[in-house]
Amino acid sequence: MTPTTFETEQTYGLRKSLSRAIPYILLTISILPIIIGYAWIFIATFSVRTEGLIPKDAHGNIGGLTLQNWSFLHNPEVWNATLNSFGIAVGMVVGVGFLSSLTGYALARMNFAGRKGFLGTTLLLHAFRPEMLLIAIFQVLLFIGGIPLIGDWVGFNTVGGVALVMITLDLPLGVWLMKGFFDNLSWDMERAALIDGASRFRVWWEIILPQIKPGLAALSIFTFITGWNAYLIPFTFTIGSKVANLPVLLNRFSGDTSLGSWNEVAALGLFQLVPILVFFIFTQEALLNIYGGGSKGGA
Amino acid sequence: MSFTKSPEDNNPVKIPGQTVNFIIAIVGGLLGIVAFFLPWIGFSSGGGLLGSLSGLKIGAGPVVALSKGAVIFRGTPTSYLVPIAGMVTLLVVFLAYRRKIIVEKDGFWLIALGALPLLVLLGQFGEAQRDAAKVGVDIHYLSGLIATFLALLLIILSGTLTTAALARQKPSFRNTLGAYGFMSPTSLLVIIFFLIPVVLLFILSLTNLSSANFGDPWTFIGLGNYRRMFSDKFFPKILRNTVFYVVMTLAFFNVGLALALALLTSHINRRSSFFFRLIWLLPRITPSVVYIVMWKRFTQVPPYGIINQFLGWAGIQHQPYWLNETPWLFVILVNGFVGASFGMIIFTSAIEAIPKDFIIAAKVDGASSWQIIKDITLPLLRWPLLFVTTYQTLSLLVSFEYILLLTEGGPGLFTTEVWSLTAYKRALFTYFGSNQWAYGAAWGFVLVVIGAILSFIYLRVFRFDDLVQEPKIDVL
Amino acid sequence: MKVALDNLTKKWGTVVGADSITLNINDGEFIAFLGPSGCGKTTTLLMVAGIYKPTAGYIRFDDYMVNHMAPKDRNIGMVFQSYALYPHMDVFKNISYPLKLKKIPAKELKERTRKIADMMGIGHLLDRKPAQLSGGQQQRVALGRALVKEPGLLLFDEPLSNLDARLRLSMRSEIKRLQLELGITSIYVTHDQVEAMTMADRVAVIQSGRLQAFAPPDELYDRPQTLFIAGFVGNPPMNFITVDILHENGLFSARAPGLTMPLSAGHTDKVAEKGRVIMGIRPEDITIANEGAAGEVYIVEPLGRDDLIDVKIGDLHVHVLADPEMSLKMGDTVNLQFNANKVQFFDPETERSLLW
Repeated sequence: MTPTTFETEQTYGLRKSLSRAIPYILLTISILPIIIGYAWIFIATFSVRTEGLIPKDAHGNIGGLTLQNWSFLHNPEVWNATLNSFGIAVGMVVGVGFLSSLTGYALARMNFAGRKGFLGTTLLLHAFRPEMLLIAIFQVLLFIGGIPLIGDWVGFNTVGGVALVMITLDLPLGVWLMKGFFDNLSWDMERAALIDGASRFRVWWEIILPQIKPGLAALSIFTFITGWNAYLIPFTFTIGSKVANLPVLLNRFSGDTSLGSWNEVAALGLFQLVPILVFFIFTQEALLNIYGGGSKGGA
Repeated sequence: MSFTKSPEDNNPVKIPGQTVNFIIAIVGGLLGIVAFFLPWIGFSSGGGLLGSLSGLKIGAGPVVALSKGAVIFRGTPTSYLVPIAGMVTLLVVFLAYRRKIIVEKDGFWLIALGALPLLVLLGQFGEAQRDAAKVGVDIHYLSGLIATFLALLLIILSGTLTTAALARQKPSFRNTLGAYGFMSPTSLLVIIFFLIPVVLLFILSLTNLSSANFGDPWTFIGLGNYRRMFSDKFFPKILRNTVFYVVMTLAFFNVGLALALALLTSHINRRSSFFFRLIWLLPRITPSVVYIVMWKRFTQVPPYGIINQFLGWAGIQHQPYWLNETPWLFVILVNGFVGASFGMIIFTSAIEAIPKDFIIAAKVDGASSWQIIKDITLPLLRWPLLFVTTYQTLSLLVSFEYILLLTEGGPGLFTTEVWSLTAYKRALFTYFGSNQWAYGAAWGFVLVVIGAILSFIYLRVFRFDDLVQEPKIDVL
Repeated sequence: MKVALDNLTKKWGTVVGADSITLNINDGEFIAFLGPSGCGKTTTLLMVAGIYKPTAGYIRFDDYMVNHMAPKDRNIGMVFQSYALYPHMDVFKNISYPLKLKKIPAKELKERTRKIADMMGIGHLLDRKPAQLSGGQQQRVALGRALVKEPGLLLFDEPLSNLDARLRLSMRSEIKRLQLELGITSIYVTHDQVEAMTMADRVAVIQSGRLQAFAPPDELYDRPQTLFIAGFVGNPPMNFITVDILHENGLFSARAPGLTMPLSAGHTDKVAEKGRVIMGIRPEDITIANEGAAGEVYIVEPLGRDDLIDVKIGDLHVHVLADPEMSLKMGDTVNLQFNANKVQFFDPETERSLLW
């Protein structure tokens, strides 16, 4: 039989604070790669070259801080890509926001034949991952590209086409989220507006939409980030620098530059990160919610 | 005052748009027949809209183009569908006229029938140019184009008139119509970029379409692509890779680490836990390309690589290019650091939803933190765990963006190539010389089927349909 | 505006919201729909408003069938329990919204909105948002919004139940006064029988989707046609005692264990044939006297002006109103005298009144 041992109060307190500290230690270790990655981006952006995390000048000495990596700002190609990125992102915010609030409203608040079927389809698509469809969407875009007039705007190898595909692929999630927001609104308010003499479209636009502004804002942030970051779809459906967006451009740069000029790549990367980080800082709570709850079905 | 009768009891009134419907249907029918002969009078025709959508080469007529005196003739049995549709339309119009039976729904059918050849015609002009260019003929399709747009305009007009008339006649139809107005833009996009691609992907996988024979009529080769896929020399390796990738990422990061993070952050004070969770969200919102640049930098050879710099400080001499040395480690790390945050957020909210009384009661009973986690928290997380596992299995199975950016399936042959990446590369990379769309589609379609089944199952399991409430306003 | 409901029915699958409700409302009349929650009164009101579509039956405004008319074309105003104000608009915009939708010129819109706001006593609050108002003020805004377009029919859906007791009392009389002054036909849905009785010209009692009675308040009170109405109308509620009708020495009497009551002449012939009936009597129609059925005071509930006494006669509990000055205590023995002219009799099977 082992003798019972009693801890002194001191060792007990020590052990307790140690066990309190353990989660912090583990969590800090877990985020180290992320912190280091970001640290490198920041350091590399403003230095001539980096060895590991250490900024070095041309002679290999520590230092060599510079702004020359930002010379890409004089490159019209970059600004064109920025414009394309911005166009896709804004197009997605407007498109997904408008369409999913329109459809989500009908699904949540209207009684019509086939409603159940639409709801089921939305749910199924919202769980479905569309990456594999890109092969077939490619053919569809080629076809649309062949139609006179329309094809010049939303066909293959156009920013419009990319935006349209991205909007559509995000719609099931958007519709489901919006439906969730609409579900929680008061029926009486809508009834009151109908009795006051508004049409259903007007009720949606003047009475209901203002109530779900926070939800709409959250969805907008989410879609803006998705659109701004988009790589795979623009990469697949565009050729050449005229229609490339920032990630596609960056990937091309990082592919054909030597190790030494990675600092310029880092600068361009930071340039891309800035709007994301701004959003991140100002809308943390909404982001956490939407990245978790969003995929859960807005429930 | 006697009771007024409900208008619904009255006999159906005549629909104002009826005459227009007749005209549309007749014009459409005639055009369908004319379209068949267009090639002989100087127009070229290709697959058309329906052709591309269904994957069948439904020509409005046999494709004919003049090339320096020689006539090129290309046709499939399905070419004859269009004139048949036209003739059926005319027949229906004739019968309807004789029997005076055109009311309500029949108006729609007429429009649909009339629209069919017109739509085919519309699609033709896109391909007509290409077809003609192939044999070096400049064709003038402007007059046909104008005719087509005019016909489309007529269809829209008559459709609007008919629906308006119907709405007047049947109030319940008005509700449905209004709701469809709200639904239609989204539905249209979803049909074009979701539903059609699913069907198209399957049809593609039965053909031999590649950039080498692009523009030719599609040749169906049955299940040839699937046979080729399963007998591919690298098929076992790709399958192994896929399973390995999904299981490892899932176990260590998307579920394992996610759960650990959720448990750890729920045991520290709120502000710091919020901070840690936010940092963990960063990889997910970082542009994938930038994120990969960071990771590539980690693995570089000395003096650039960050890992090697740390190794150097630790006095370890073995400093290789880590991405080539242990590619799988980094493929999993890169995906895992993005994937973990999803599970973490879901688990955290599930843990926060556990009634505090349970925890307090267990503490009073003398349970340690670990016992509380083991006996209370984890059993209550059963459903979130299942949810995250199924959802993430699905996304890992079909998403390949990070692997594409990081290793492109390399280094070497198929080292880190997974199923979805194979499908993508086969179809959309100029791989071994050409884009093998059909072959890639076969790879892709298998995943689509798996994905559809998995998402269907998980909708069933999680009873999402219970979340759907009935609208409390009937009218529009 | 005259309103007629003709066999109005609403079903959701097998769930019945309203079941063949037929009633006619005269121009300028104030009607209350009274019933327990979930009885279908709000469903009926929403059908009148045009929000719900009837499954069967017709709604007529001034002899026009309006079943398929959109709510906006019905020229009605509605006040909701939740007020249903538009939170993103200020009071002025809330009240003027119906006018804006009618495309009333800006000048007239302003004048009419101001007039209504002053009438409702909220003229000084026009630039506030609903969230900055008290419950009573919000209800006034809602009322103003309903009135501003000068509707032919006013609908109230439990408008006072979210207010505190004092405010409810004053709003009650205010609504009644407004209705009288403007002479607008009104339908008022409530589960509070006091509200219905004090405000309405006629009360429609609804239970499980069916119309039980449609009559002026005093008639409902004095001559309830069914057991449900008798029990639902009046506070404190009526006592129900199962009695046997006995015929002895040419005299009819109602008897239950421990109490016997002679029938009044007017009632005799209507209940004589029945063996066993349900007798109803209101607490204020029972007096504590020196003789009569003997019972024991079980519980005393002071109501202020009166004491509500629960008297136990055998296994029977009878509620009686008594003067507090009698200062009855638990366990006291009292004798009860029933006012034979005020009793009601109901058939135990059909639950219908045997008298009316």
